Amino acid sequence: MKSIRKILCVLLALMMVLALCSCGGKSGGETAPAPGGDKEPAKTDDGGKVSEQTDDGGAASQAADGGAAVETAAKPETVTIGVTGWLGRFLDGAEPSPNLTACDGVYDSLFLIDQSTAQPYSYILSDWGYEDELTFKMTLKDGITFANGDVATGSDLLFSVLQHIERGDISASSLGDLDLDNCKADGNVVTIKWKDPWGPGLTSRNIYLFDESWCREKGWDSYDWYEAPNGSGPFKVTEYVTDDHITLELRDDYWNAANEKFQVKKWIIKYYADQSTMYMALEKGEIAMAGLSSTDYTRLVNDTSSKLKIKTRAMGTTLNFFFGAVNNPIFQDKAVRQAIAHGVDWSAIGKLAYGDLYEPADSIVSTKSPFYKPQGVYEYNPDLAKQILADAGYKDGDIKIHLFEMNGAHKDFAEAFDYYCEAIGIQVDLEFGDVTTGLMTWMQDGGSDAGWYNNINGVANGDPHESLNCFYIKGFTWCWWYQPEVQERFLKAAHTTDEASRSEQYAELQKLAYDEYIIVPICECMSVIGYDPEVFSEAEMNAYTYTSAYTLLHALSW
Amino acid sequence: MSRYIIKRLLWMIPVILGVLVIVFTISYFTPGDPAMSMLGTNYTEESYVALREKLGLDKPFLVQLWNYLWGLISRGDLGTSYIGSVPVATEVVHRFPITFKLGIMSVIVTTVIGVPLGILSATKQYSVADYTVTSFALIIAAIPNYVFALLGLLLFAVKLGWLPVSGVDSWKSWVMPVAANSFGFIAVIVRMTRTSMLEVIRSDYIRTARSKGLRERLVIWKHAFPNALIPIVTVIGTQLSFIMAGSIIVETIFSIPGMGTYIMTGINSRDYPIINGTVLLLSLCICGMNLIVDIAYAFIDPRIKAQYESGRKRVKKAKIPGKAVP
Repeated sequence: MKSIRKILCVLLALMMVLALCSCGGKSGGETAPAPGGDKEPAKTDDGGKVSEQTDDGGAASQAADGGAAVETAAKPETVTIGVTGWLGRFLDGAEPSPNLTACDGVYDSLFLIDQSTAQPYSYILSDWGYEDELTFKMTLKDGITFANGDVATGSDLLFSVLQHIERGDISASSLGDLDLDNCKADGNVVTIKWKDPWGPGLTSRNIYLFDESWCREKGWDSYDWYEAPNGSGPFKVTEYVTDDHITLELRDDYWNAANEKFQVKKWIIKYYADQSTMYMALEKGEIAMAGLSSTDYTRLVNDTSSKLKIKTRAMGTTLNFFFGAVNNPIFQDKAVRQAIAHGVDWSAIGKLAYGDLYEPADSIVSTKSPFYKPQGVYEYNPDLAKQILADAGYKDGDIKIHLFEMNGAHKDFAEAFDYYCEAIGIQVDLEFGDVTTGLMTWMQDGGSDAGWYNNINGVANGDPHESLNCFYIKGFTWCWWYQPEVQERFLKAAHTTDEASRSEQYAELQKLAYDEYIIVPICECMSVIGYDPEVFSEAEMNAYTYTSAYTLLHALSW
Repeated sequence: MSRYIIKRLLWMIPVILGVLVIVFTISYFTPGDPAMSMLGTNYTEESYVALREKLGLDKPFLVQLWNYLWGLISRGDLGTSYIGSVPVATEVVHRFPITFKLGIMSVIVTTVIGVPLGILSATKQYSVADYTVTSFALIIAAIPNYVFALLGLLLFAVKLGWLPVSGVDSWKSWVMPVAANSFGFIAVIVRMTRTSMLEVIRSDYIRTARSKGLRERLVIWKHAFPNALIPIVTVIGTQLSFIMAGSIIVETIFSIPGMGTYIMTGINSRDYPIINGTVLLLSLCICGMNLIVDIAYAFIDPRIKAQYESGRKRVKKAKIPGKAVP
């Protein structure tokens, strides 16, 4: 029996060692192998840590038709990148959501945003601008052709803008109140007319150029929006396998081929149902690039043996906490809002959201926005919070809040929020559900008394009209900023093309949000991707527009 | 025997219909709304009402159920997915073979490893081999398949680089998913085989066989094993059903575009046609497997075959007028 026990012990020990080997990483200070493995070891920067770039120090984005060339890495003809969540379709602005990276390969966008200046540029327009406060003119370049051979016209361009309204897409609201009778195309010149001046303009959102006749023929429910989209971009879809991958191949007849030299002829966008599997595929080199979770980010930063590099970028939006005063009248008492603002450690919630990527926000507008005005951070002081509540006449248990959460990450926030509220004598009734239940609940009065919000796709130029759109959409009951003064300022900011006036309105809104404690800015929304430096150079990653319009495929074309 | 098979096949119809009605009813009454899910942030009252009308969700429950069943029976129509507007049958045709392949390979691995280990453990009871096998079975039974899958990926794919992380492109990519699917069931098979074999080995007829001077190999494989096989076959048959129905986790971790990931998509988005279509197919699989197992009994155990045949004779005799049924 003793020998058997010994054998069993040895077996168990072996299994544990194997498990540890599979999980463990090397400790810091070592040199990382050079890309390719057969070259001399390359010392990583930052004391052996994986090097990381942020948008601050990178090269500027490529300007349209002839910006500075970007240093490239020698590339294979086929590159595979990973996505998770949903492989997506090639129709934007609606559910099911699009795969923006793939869309950028297949379509041309009207405008892209230069990350270093937040200014728009365009591949397909030769000219654009306001003629007066109500009139915006664009001229489409000649010779743009779609994959099916159709030549793009001004009529297609106009259709590309107006189809969002035709489809009933909610994002059409960000186009403003258009004077549809006077929006017209004349040859390649398109005139867009508004009933009121429209400050956000067309450049604050991503609009793809569509082929009107093809769209009319197929309709909006066609499966061709998945497997055979017709765009004017450099790539076409040659394979679409649901829940597996999309293959994009370079078009032989791409209209702008003379100006863009594509090293990568084929992109495979591989779908991973599980984020951690995607990270392992990235580590192993099966994919050359993938978005990382905050946990994977921390792991990669600390993994000194990894050859992978990291690119982080602020998405132009902030994560905020909303007191849904419409759903729970208790929040109309400023003392309650004030107490919660000081009674909750928002930095802890920010760290739950972004881990080591956490960057505190001091305004509801992102630092990336030209309208950003710093306000301050609410000091975490539970004693002060209790005192405020006591002074206002509230006793422990007097205040009850109901929170409904459906987003996985937000469930963690809700539990943390519950913990801090309990410490200051506020009861939180938490209810968790899935997305389909949640959406319905959130849109009903009383569905959730409070909640979190951030524009998950990011806003390339940080325009508050896009990044804070939940404030003025009454449908989202928990985050609707109900005060008339606020709604008026939002309208004023939207209905003027005068930047100084817009800036003034947004400055006042940021101040109101902070002083009135109506919204708590928690942190900047960050995106992070891991990439293989053998395939992508640092300069390319800096040129990669990462939010709203994902110009990866274009960015890597020089 | 053929009468028995036909009878069993006919019995499958009400079973499948029952399953469909139950699944449809559960989906219908589960909180959440496919129209809401499809609209997402594009929700407006008007668009919501219009979409519900378009999908037929505005109709009463019984009308929806009848429309679904009638479409299925009359046209073999499994419906069209709300998300993507793709016929469920089209997706299933692509995905089912992948999941079936995964299931079959897992069952083969489970059987090839589990049965011999179980026999070894039974024939060498209380030996080092027995303790090793039973401990091994205990350990692998205690590790959930998702933990094994992730640790296995880290070790064999990332650290050692022997296997790919995901996909179904080469034989290598099947190794980890099949192993993750099989390991828990290997433990079940080992223990079942061991118990069953021990029971048979202690029987009088085995003692007789040994006393006649038969070689041990013949005693085990010719006399003991066939009789121990019946419960093992039952377990193996039901395993394939379990593996196929429970492939969601393994398919998700290894990004396999099979039925498991399809069911997940359907459940997450309240896509009723996907849920109903996939459950229907899995129910058919389970019923089919049970039937195959029952038929297999007849081939394994002559007593069961004789029962079927004597039943038939009884029926034939009963039809002769004026004669008593024995």
